[in-house]
Amino acid sequence: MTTIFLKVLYLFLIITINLYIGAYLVNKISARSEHRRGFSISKAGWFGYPALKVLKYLEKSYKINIWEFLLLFLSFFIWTIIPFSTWLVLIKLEGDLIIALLFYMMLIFIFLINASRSSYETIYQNVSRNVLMAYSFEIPIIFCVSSIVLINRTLNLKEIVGFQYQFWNIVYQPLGFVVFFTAVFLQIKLFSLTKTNNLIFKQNSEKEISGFGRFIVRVAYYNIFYFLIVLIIILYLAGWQNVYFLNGNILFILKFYIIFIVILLLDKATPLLDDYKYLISINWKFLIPVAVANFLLTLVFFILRNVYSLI
Amino acid sequence: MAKELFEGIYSSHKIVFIERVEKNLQFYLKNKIVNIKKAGQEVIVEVDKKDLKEVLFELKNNTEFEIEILNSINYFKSKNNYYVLLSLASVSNNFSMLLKVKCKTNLREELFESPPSSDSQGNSNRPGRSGNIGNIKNTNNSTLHSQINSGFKTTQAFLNEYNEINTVISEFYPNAVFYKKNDNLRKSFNDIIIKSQILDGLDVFDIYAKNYDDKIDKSYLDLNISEIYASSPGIFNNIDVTKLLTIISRLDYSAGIFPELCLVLAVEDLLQIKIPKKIFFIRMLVSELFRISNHLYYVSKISLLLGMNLCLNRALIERERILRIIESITGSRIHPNYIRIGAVAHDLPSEKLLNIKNELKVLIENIDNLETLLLDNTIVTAKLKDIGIVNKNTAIKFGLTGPNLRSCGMRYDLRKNRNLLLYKEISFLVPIGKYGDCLERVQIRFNEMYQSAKIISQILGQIPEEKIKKILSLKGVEIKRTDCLASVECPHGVYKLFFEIEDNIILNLVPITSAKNSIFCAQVVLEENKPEDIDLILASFDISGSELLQGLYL
Repeated sequence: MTTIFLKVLYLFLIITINLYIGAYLVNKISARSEHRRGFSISKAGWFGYPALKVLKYLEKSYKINIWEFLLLFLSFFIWTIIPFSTWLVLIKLEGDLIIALLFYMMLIFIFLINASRSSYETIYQNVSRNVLMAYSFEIPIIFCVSSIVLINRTLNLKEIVGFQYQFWNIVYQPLGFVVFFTAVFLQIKLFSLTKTNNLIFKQNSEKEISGFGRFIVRVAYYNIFYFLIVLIIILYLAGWQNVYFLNGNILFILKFYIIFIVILLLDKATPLLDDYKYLISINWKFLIPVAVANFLLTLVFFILRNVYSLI
Repeated sequence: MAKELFEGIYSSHKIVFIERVEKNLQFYLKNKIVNIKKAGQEVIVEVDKKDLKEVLFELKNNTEFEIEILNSINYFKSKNNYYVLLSLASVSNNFSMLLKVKCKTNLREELFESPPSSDSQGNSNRPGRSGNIGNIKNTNNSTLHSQINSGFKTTQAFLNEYNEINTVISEFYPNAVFYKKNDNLRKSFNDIIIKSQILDGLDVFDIYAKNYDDKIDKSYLDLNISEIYASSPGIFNNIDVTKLLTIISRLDYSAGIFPELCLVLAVEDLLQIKIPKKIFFIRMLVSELFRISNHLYYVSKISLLLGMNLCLNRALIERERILRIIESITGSRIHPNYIRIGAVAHDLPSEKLLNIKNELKVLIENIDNLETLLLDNTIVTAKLKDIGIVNKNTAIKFGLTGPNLRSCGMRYDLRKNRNLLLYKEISFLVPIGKYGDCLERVQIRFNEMYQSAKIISQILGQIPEEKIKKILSLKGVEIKRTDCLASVECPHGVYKLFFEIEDNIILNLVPITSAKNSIFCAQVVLEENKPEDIDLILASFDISGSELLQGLYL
């Protein structure tokens, strides 16, 4: 009983501290990469800045509706399935990979329902477009995941990490990694953390969605951001596996922040993506064909190796 | 040859050509012309309203003129009479002219017909604007203000007449319809409403659009909000030339030197003043610096809308660099107040020239980096490509000028096509595009910046070392009431100033700018584009808000 309590406490601490650091980094790195000075309140300091922001949201209004509550609950509940190390996992399931992806899709769907309450037509239109685009990016992700499942012959995330003790999956699946990373990056861009289209969002949504509800939506965005990064690390970069004498848990943190910063910098190097035709053309002309080709290649190798035992 | 031209031994071929056009007009239009006058390298023709249809027919169909372009329609009031100004241009014969149409409506007659207006501040006998300047000079400030206020109001009788004239013009030039007021469109196009100040830098109009199948069906840009500025009329009217020079840069806040230059060129042309060579070079230098500054501001606006905040900040840093150079020459950053009649305000010593030379190298390198950062990005190019396409024909139809016209493939630049300043002595290219989409419009700006840098480096090498003589004052000079006109190549397009001058007082200042042409063209171009691209397309036209001020001259 105490171990479960400890695990929950650890998880909660890890997530909240990361949210804290993430909010700071998003502000500071994005400012530095844009040749700006960045946000700095002299009295609050770097430590007090995210807390101050929460207070600012709370000051406006503290009411939330049921969908916002569900958003908050699900965005934290998703971490119960994701393993952070051999010990730190709350619910042990056989096919937790599939359930994690389903949870993620559900989380996005709640965004859509939340947006449908809006009295502005443009907000609902754009969120629904974003959600549909995010779903369409799930197609290459599913192909990539299934080729990894073929290699590792398991649906359990913990076992997938265990399989990578010798070679990381990125060695077997370089193409898959590229596709997976781009799909994740584009999804993060869709739920843009650092930029929004002024014309469509800023003027209306800031009047309507302010206060604690907006804080929850932002927390959910950050959770999605972290969830996708952790998925990349577990599937391709060997999670918490030790490398020679280096501790796996520390490596996990390092990998997490490296990918986090790389995505932030890429986000700054690319313009706002609200051109859906362009996104669709990327998806159907690059991501899906490459993902399918990668999957077929792995399938051929799988058959040659396991059915005919030629390799 | 240029030196001889400069010293006035030969008159330039362009002036000879304009004289020929003047003679032709006199020959073909004979008794329909009330008055004809050559102003600089253009012709001002005054006709009566009843002859307008025949005059326009002759101008359009006669092979000697072949005027295809209507650049703008403006109106003003002078000596108790209303006038409508048509700015016309011909592509095939490469000249432009101003048609001044005298209306029937007389102010004196109106006084008895119309009821006293409520906002005339209790002034029961509305005298209107008196033609006699001496009277206005002697009155108190408050009474003068009320006189001007009441005089500037457009009356219903004139508006009806204006609409009649507009219908006549639209038979020959279809884009004249856009210059009519039509508030009904605002009510019918209400699927998408973007109020002013939502978009950065585009805060002089509201956008109303009709949406169909995720695309814009029809759009209407409402300019009513820009009439707010008309609440302070008389700022630019009825004042001394020297006083006007200090404030006229407000008419174009992103490239403030050009209104000043235009005003001074018109007055110098009227007085036939001989100007030293060094002053020409200094004027060219400052105007090219302002051109680069304006284009960098343009790039910053575009990159903000694209979400490329890195490019936005880089462009603003480079603009800061160029504004500092401008400050070192003129003494101020945005509103230079630098050019004087026959001279410039301060001399330019050789130490400053060296400084500019060093700064220019760094600037051009950085602009080059900025271009690769912005336009080598495939997502940016994919976003800008194939949106807001303007054909060659559409551009001519709406009378576009400047970089917007050049991006469609028309090579037209006043610096080359006219004897503007001393640009003939300097070698540079006029960059043109091919497709006329948003991407080309951005690329043209970058190319123009490189050409401007090339011009500046040549000026720095050629500028003569001499001391500038005393600045001219118009005090005590007696000038009869005449019309003046001058035009310069502004970064947004051709910038023209029309005004009447008497002694040293400026009356009825009418800026004829390219902003309205861009707006009317944008209305048509926005159709069949996506609603998300509205801001990008409008920003790519480089519409300067201050150029849209309405009611300034009425």
